[in-house]
Amino acid sequence: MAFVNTKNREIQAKIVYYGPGRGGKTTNLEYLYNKFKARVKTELVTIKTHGDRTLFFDFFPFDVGTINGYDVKIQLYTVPGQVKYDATRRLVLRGVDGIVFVADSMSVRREKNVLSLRNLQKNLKTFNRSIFKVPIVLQYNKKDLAEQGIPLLPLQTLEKDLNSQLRAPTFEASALTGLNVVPTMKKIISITVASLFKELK
Amino acid sequence: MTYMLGQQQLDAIEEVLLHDLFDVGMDCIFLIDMAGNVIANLDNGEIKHDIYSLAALAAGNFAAVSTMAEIVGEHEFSLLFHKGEKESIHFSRVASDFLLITIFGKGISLGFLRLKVAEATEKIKRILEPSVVR
Amino acid sequence: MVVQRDGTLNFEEEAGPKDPLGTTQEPLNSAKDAGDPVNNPLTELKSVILSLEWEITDAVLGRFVDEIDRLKDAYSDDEVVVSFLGLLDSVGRYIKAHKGKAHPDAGKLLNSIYLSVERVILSKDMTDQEKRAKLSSELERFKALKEKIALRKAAVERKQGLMGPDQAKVAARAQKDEHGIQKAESSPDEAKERQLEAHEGHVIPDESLRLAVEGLKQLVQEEFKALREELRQLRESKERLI
Repeated sequence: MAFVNTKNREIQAKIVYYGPGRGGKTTNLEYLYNKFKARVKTELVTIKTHGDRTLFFDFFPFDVGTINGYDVKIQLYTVPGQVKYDATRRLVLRGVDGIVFVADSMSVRREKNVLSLRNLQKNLKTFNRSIFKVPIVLQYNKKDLAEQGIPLLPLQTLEKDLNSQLRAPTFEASALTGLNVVPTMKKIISITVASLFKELK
Repeated sequence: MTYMLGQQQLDAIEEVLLHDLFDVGMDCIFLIDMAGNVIANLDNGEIKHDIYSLAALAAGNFAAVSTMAEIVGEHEFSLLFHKGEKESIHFSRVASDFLLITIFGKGISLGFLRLKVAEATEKIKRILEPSVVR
Repeated sequence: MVVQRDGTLNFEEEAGPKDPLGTTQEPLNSAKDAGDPVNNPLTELKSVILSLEWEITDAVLGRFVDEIDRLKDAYSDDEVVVSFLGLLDSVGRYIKAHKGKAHPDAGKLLNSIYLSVERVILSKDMTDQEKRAKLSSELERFKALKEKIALRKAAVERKQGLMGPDQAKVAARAQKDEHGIQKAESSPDEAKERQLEAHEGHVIPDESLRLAVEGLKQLVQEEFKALREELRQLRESKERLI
């Protein structure tokens, strides 16, 4: 639910990083926060368990700059990935304008990726939203593990499992090293904002 | 899913926040939507709260409590209020998509604040009505 | 606020810096017997006042007024307590009439008066003079609030353009007169009271207590008179607009 403030000429939009537990959603946000700290006037908000798993959400607001005469402010969120936190995931998803689906490239996580994507579709439906209509980018994370000899899913498999119908932009990435983390964010911001401006016309 | 608020509406909302709530002694007031976007905010100048984080957390908090209400068989809880040593915070739903959050000190009683907030909420609801674009 | 297992309420108010009314916000359960329903005849009143802290509704205010009436009967022989109850009644009715438009300090005054009357009733060794001193200081706070209300009302009317600044001053003065505050201060009896105070070091003798009670009765009457006048003016201005 993006908010257009015609008085201040400002647009506020919400982007949520979604995906299976331990897939790298929080790591994405931490990388982005550290990279853009100078431009972000606030602290990164994290609500975690003692075991360092996201319990509620992570959050920080990001000032993108001026587009079409409007100041664009993006609220970046992650959701908790563990299955038991479904109710929490649903309420963080409320009012979402763009989604980054962070898939775990490890072979052993293949099924979890699919279940998580289906879960996203189901939770969007509770808000009468269609996964096919929300701006979405897929990130195939943990590419750095290949160097350690850990079996990873080939791109073809990931595409077939997760993107055969969505046809969303994709990035192979490593949130830990920063590979393609910023391009993922830039892509989701640009397609989200484009979609918003289209809606406003 | 986007909605727009025009200058007149935002000015009218700020008037309500200023005269009905701020002038009565609240320290910080903000109106947000359920996605955590900040629509309007007023504070006493001494306060330097991170409004954007507060808004995100407030929306999450309210949503979590509302879900708990449903689980226990309630439509919603009529009071969401956190009492602090010096500052307390009160949440009030405005229509179905907005939240009015007030932060106040010990000089104001909760009972009185709830009366003022109820009045302000009705006024803001009327101002917001024409706006939601889906 | 915590509901104890025996059904009584335990309310904590932290002490804060002095406010304009000079009210020290002590915990409402500070008096020794306060938590004991058998020894504390004010249990019901306390419960209602604590409820008002959380929610101001007609139902709770109705209970408040009923309880005050009941206590006035029970303590009809005790002039000091009846005066306290009269103050509580007046403030309670003001809040009931104005609700959200009431002055924010009215709630604080209610708590302050309650704490004083609770002390007076429950204390075993408070002298008569001390009780009257407490009453007198609550009466001063009451008057201070009335002045604040009058000034606020004048400021609002000035803002709404119903009168110019000079008229507002005159109205504020007139309202003070109407509420009996200026009259009480300029009466010869009041001057006598001040003399006595000066000589006896703030000890309030019987004569002054009687005057205080009279002044209170007058205030309440004047308040109703002012309310009626306000209603009449409102009706007239509505007719003019039409």
